[in-house]
Amino acid sequence: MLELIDISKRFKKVEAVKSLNMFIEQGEIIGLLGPNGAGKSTAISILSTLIEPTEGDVRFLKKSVVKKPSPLRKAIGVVPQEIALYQQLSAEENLLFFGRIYHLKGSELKQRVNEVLEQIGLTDKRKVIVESFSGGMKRRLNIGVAMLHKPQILIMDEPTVGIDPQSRSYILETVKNLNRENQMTVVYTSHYMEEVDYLCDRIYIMDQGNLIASGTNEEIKQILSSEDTISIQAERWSNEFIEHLKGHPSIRNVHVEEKEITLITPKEVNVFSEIISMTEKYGIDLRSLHVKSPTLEDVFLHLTGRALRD
Amino acid sequence: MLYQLVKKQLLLLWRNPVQIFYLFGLPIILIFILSMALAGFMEEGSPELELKVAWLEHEDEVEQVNQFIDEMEDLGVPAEALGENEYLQMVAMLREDVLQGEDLQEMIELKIIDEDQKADVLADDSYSGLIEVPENFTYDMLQVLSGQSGEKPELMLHVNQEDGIYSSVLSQILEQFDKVLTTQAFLQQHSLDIDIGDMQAVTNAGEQIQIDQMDPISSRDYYTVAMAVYTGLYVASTIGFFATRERQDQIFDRIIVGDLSRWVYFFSVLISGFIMAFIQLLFLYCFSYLVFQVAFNDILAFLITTFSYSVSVGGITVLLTAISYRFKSDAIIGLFTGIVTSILAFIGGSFFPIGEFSETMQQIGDMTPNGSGLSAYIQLLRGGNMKDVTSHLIYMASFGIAMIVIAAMSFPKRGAAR
Repeated sequence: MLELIDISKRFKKVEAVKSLNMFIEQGEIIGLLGPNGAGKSTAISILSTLIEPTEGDVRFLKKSVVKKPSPLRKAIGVVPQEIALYQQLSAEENLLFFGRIYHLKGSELKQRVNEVLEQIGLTDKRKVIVESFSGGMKRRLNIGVAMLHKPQILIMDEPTVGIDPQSRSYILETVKNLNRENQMTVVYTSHYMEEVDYLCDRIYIMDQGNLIASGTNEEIKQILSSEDTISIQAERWSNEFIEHLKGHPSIRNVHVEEKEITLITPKEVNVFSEIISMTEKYGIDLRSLHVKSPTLEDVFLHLTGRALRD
Repeated sequence: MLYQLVKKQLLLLWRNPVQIFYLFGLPIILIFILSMALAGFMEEGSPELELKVAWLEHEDEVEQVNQFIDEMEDLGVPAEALGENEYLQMVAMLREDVLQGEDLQEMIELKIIDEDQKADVLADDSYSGLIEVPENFTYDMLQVLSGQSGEKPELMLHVNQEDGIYSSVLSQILEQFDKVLTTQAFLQQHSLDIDIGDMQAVTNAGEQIQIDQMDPISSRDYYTVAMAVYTGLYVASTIGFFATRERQDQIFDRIIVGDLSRWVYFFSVLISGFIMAFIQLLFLYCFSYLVFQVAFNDILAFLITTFSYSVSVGGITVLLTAISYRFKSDAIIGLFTGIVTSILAFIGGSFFPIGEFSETMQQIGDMTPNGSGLSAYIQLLRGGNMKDVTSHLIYMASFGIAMIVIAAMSFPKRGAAR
């Protein structure tokens, strides 16, 4: 349906995207993962026809849309990272304005505005000025605007940034429903692994402009099939303990958080007893020690040596 | 679609009380304050003049006119052809009809003096000047006017150099009087059909000075116009600021993804700036008409001037937007609002009539859109018509078009505004 073929994009001396290949089939939810600066937003901008690639081609229904983007523009709805709404207008006024931008008019426009308000749960707030909305309500309306013209493909650039868990959950359910009930294709970028894990059928992982992994959730997690991810939990850590872990020849990717350390070891090596000895030696008040099922976060850590939100 | 974009811009402005105050409330407050504060300086367009002038004649004019008539009759010119005797008494005309005429009598206190008082008058600083009529002045002048002699006599003017503007005014009156006489002499020398009766025009000399200056304007007239054109510039930065926010908030991206041409957006900004400036100017002038009685007699010329100035403002609006989009920064809007607008207002004469200092300053001021607009409106308030302001109209419209062209060349291509 939609393909990025060997796409590169340079901004002066910075190469934001390097030889990116992607394909998106109708009705699937695609996740685009990566930390800040990975090139996700540039890839999304190319997909959205907002910028032209320096090299490569974008094809929609087998036809190039780099120079003639109109067919793709008619088929997509874009949810930008920013709250791309007029804060001084009401929810309804925003929807009416953008509906007209999407060439809707008359009774069709009014009907779509009502439907979208219902979908995003803002029917009773339709006359309220957006400025007075909570962050979550603004995000929902931001998505609603992109859905007005019933696009075939919904492109969402980090749509849940900075909102409360309840609104986040609402948005994830809305996306899931749109895909399930309307067969809407969704391209979803985030640096929240759990969101992508929950929503997406296939995942592309980017880092520093490169595509470093792609596949279904299970395929991605298989990358770690020969290794274990071990989680150690304690009240506090000592620097000596951490240095000792990092210096161990069978331990990689030691990631330290306040009360949890995750690390990766080969499946054939048992380091449990050594870790317990180390905690005793350095006076660490150990709470738990277990092998975790690999997550996308672990895969990312494995591939890049960095946590996604670093 | 253009209509929807423009309507949305105007709705956004309407929902922004702070900007509404800046564009509509603040100018009215400024007009009140400035017109009150500077009323003494500006009232009736010039300070009140009171001149004390001494007048010394060394001839008997009636005797000289009679002598001239006798000689002309001897030459075969009938007395009737020379017109009324009183029209030949040009010195009396200058003294009674010009210096003590209806227009100048309140300004000039004329003292007739004798020869022996001359030295005292010249030493007296309370006098702005002394006009001395030399011997045989009238006779010699009539000879010149009738083509009998080529030596034109001159009145002698002693001015008090320390009296600045007062002595200057006196000199101008006499120059005007002399100019009329010279014109008469020229006509006589080039025509056999002598009509000395036309010398009545001399009595209008004072009025001619008034006509050159056109109708005076009050400080409220001046500052209504000055603040209207000054705050009109803020329309450009306000609409430009809204447009910049649309880029920052990715609303512009959303519009482009809606498959709308960037040129439709470009023209929506241009038209919004134009319409807002037009509405603002009409509002301020309607308010000033109702409250301050600032009235334009030539409504059509007023509307065309307002249209032309609004084109300039529209041009600036779209240029600010294009530059801010190109450089991905709203710094240009801040620079324009904080510094450039004040400089333009100063040079353009919005703070005080800077053009009165020199012709050059006036010309520089007229090169700013607001200065050109101000000059055009002032001309109209002084009784001018469309012809008087044509050059300003052309300049403002050309300025606006030039801004639009530069903006169109600067407006970033697809993706370059991100």
